[in-house]
Amino acid sequence: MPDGSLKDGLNASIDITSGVVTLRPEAPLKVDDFTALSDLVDSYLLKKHKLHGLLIIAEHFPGWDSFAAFVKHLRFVGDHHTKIEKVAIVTDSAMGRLAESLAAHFILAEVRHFPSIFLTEAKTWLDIPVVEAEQAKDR
Amino acid sequence: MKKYSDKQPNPPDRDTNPGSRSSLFTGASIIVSFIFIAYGTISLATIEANTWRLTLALIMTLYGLYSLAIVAYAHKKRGRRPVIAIQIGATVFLVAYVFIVVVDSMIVSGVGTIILVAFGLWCNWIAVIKIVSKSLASAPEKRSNYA
Repeated sequence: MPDGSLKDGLNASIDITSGVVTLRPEAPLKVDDFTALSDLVDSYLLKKHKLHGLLIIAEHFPGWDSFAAFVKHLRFVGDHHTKIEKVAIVTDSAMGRLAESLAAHFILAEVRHFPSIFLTEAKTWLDIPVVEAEQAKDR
Repeated sequence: MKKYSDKQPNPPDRDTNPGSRSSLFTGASIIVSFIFIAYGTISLATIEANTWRLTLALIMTLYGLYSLAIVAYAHKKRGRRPVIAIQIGATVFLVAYVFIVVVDSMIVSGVGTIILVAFGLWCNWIAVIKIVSKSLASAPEKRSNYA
């Protein structure tokens, strides 16, 4: 069951059983969003040492509220990329493909981009149990 | 040990290695420039309506490219031109940045971001000064051009 969720510009929740954080950015990202996300992830990492996956679901990338938010984003990635095994980016935006190719050079975690119609495949790749009804809904 | 007259103040110690750590600052400058370019280009691709934020993204991209060009120019050209160019670029960029932050209330930036940006500009500025100083130290006959 999802646990430890937060909501602002960045809607985030963590599924403790599968060790996957789901992120849904809905408004330009702020410094506070990354602070809250760091707290959420770090509290999990204190117990488990490694996060199995990160699932980012976004219709389009909303950008950052300020340059400070962008720097905070980079710091979050720098601090956590060794502690996360897989990152699935589910989006139809061109940013998804760009993020996948950039991440291959700079990030230790395995990053893969999925078009939004392949949400179920992204969840399967992250080993999240997919409910049959949800699977049918995605199709 | 040299002895100086009691009537005259001691001269300042001569900087024996003015271009020291130029590689370190060049690296930092290149990273800062790429961060500016990345923020600017991604923002340009994602922002839909807000004119001021678009302007800011454009300015950041241009300044990132400009500072990279100046660092490359400083490596090739001895003299004070690259230093003046980076000073003018940094000043214009900082004024434009602060103006946009003040004018556009949508950008909740604050003093922290301005300090962060100013630190990036300082990195670029010092990198160019160090590169020019290093090249002058290795070719003292050109020093008169810099003074």
